[in-house]
Amino acid sequence: MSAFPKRDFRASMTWLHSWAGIIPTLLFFAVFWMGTLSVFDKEIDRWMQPESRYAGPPIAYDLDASIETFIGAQNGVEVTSLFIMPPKPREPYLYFYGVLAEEVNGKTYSYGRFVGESNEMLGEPQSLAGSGFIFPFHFKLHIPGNFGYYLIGAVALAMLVLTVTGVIAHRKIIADFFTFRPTRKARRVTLDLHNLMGVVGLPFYFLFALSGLYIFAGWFAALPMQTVDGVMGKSPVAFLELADSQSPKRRPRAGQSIAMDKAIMPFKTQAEALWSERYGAPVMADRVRIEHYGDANATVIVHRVFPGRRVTMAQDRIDFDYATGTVLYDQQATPATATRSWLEGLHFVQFEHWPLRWLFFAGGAAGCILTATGALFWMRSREKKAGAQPFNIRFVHAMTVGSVTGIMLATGVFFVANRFIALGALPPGIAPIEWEPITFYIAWLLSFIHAAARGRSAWMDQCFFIAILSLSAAVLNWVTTGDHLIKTMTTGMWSIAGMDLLLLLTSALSAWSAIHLRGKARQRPFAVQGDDPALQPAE
Amino acid sequence: MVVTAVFLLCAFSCSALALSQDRHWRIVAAQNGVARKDVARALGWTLLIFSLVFLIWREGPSFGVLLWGMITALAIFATAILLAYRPQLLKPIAAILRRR
Repeated sequence: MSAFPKRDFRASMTWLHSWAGIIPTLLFFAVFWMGTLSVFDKEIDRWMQPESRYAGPPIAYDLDASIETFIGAQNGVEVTSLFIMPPKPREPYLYFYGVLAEEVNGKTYSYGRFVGESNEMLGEPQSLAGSGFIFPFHFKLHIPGNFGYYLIGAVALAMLVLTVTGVIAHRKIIADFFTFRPTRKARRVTLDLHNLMGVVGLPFYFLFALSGLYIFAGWFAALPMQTVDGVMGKSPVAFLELADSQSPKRRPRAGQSIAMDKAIMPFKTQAEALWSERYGAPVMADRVRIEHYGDANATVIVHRVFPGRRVTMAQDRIDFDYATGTVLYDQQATPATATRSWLEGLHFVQFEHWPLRWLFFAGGAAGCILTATGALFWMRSREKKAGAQPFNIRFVHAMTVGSVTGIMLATGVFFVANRFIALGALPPGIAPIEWEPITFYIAWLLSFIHAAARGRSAWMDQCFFIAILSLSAAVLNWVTTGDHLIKTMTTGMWSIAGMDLLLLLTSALSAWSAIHLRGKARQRPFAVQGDDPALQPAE
Repeated sequence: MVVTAVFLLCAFSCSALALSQDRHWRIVAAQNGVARKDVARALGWTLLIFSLVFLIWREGPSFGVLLWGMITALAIFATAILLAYRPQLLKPIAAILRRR
C-alpha cells in the first residue's frame, strides 16, 4: 500500500491535515501557549519583577536628570549611544540601554531603570519574565542561532496549510457550525470541540499565522542572514542598532568630542509638537535615541513605534542634530506600508485597547484547545484500531501530554521559581537570571518522562500539578511581596491583580479537570468503543 | 460597554442563525411549531452586518474589523455552549422565529 492511497480530494486533504497537524503538536501548542501569555507579557513582567510595580497617577519623570544619573553610573566607561524608553501605561518606568565603548562584565551594553519619580537607578531585572522569556519563546523557542526562527516559520506555514485543509476536511462545516454534543462518546466530543474551536477561531489563526510570517519575512528580507545570526541574543540593543545601520540617514562619528550639556527633553517635546500638529491629535513619542553620544555628530532620534489607540504601527521618526538642533531627517509612513504595518501591529498587540487584548487572549486559548483536541482525536482514532502498534501510540501519547499539560506545568514552575528569587533562596552557583529557565526546562522534560511512565493517568496527574502550582504562585506572590488581591484591586494595580486572578482561575479549572478525569478513568479505564462512521480516521 | 452590547447582539444573531437549522430548532422548540427559516437567516445576517458597520463607525476600521471578528467568534462559541447545556434559554428567541 502506498503512503498516499488514491482517494478523493477531501480524503487527501484529511490525510494532509492529520499528518501536518500531529507531527508538530509540540511546536503548535508551545507557540499558541506562549503567544497567548505574551498578550500579557508586560503584566507578567510587573508580577515577576516586583521592584518595577508602580501604582499611581500617570508617571512624571525627569528625562535629563535620569540621563545624567545613568551616564554617571558607568564608572567612566564611555557610552557611545543611548536608547531611552519613556514610561508607558503598561510599562510604568523609564529605562535605558547604553551601548558601551568597551566590554564590561562580558556585556557591551549597560541597563538602567527609573521607577516612578525616583531618581534612584535600578539595574537589570533579575527575572527574564514575560518579555525576556515567554515572548521570545513564542517566536524562536530560545534555540541558539537561526534554527528556532526557521522552525517557527515552518509552524506558521503549517498553520496556514491546516486552516485551509481543515475547512475542506471538515465533513459538514455548515451543518455542524454551532454543534457541540458533550454527552456523546469521548471521541465525538473531542472532534466536536476541535471543529468548534477551529471554526470559531479560523480568521484569527489565519491572520496571526500570516502576520507572523510577514514579520519574519520583513526582518529576514531586510537584513543579511549571517548578521542576524551573529547579533541575535548578543544584546537587546544590538538588533535595533543593526536594523538601523541599514538606514541611509545614519551619520558617521565626527571623532571630535563635545560636552553633552544641552537638555534632551526639548527634542522630544519638539518632535511630539510637530507630530501632534501633523496628525491633528496629541502624539507621544515612545522611544528616544542618542547616537554618537559625546561626539560632535551626536544625533537625537525621536521615534513613535506603537501609537496608543491604533492597530497600525507608526513609522514616525525625526532626527535632530544635537549641537545645532536642526532637523536632519523627518520620516513619515507611506500608504504603501500601511497594510504591512497593520498586520505587524495586530500581531504585536501593543495597542491600548483592553477588550481587544482580552479577546486576543481568548483567541490564543482557543488555539491551545484546538491543538490539544486535534492531537487527542488523532490518538483516540488510532488507539481504537491500532492494537498492532502500542508503542507508537504510547510515544505519541507521552509527546502529547508533555506538549499540552507539560508546558503549562513548566510555566507554573517558572512562576513559582520566580518567587524564590525574591526570597533569595536559590541553590548555590546559579545566577538569578538563569534560575527560571533552568527550572522551566527541567520541569518540562520531567513532564514527558512522567507521561511515558504513567500512561493515561498522566493527564489527571499533570492537571493536578498545574492546579497546585498556580495556587502556590498566587499565594507566594502575596507572601513575598505583600501585594494580595484586595490591595492590588483597590489600589489599581490591575496588572498584578489580573495575573493573580488568572492564576486562581487556572488553578480552579485544572483542579476541576483533574477531578473530572479521575471520574472518567474509573468509569472507562481503556480505549473508547463505538462506531460512528464520521469518526473513521483517514488512514 | 460597547463590546458587551455588540457581543449580546452578535450572540442573538448567531442564535437566530443556529435556530434556522433543523437540528438546533428541534432541541429548542420542537413541539412548538415550525421555524421561519428565511426570517431567522435574514435577521441573523442583518444584525451581524449591522454590528460590523457599527463597530467600524464607533472604533475605526482597523479596530472595528478585528473586534467584530473576535466578538463574533465568541458569540458562535457561546451559542454552541448554550445549545449544548442550556437550550431552554433560547426559547424566547425561538418564539420570535416561530411560524404563526
